[in-house]
Amino acid sequence: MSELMDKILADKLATRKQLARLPFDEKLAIMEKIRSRSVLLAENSLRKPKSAPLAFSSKANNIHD
Amino acid sequence: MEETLKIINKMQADGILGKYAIGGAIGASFYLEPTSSLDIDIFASFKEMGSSLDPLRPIYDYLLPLGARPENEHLWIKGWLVQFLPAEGGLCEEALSEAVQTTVRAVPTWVMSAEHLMALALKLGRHKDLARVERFIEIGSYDQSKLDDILRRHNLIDKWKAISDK
Repeated sequence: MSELMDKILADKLATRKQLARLPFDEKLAIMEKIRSRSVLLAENSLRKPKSAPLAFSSKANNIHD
Repeated sequence: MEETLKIINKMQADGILGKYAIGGAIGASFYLEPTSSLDIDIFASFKEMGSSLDPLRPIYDYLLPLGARPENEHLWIKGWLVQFLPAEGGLCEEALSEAVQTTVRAVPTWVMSAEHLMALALKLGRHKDLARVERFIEIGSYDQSKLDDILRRHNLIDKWKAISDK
């Protein structure tokens, strides 16, 4: 592996460790953003399997809040 | 998530659940970097166990009138998919009894210790569980002596060596 790649991987790990040290409430805010992006991506017709799991459908996410 | 936990705390106050603890991916995110997860695993002792064929019935009977919606083995509660899992077996019962009290946006809750989450993931041994153990190792957010003690008592040393020697 190249020196550059080693540095990139080390930086990534350092960032992950930094994120891991955040208070959970701050992590939760990040997780909620990731989660809403995941749901949006899953809504894309290119991503949707023929029998999409209800968890990713707009129906499931609209009626239970 | 805090609204979901308020409902679960109310279940506990009303005697539907005994002690509970968050496990799985969300439990691990208390110690690791945040990741995407749709569901919350709630390990609990069920005070009012239903029949052996339908042990979760009291939980469903309690939650459905409050607006929860079932989806396969999960329930949608205030925007989060929740799976209730009975804390059965030595390791799981120990993880529950030694769960750590914490808060999520000022709502009190309990989460399994990092070491118990690692041991349970090792025991389950699916790819995603082992990947989680590797993340714990990389981040280093656990107590090795406490983990060693748990692994020894629950015969998980070989599984640990297989992953930690990589």
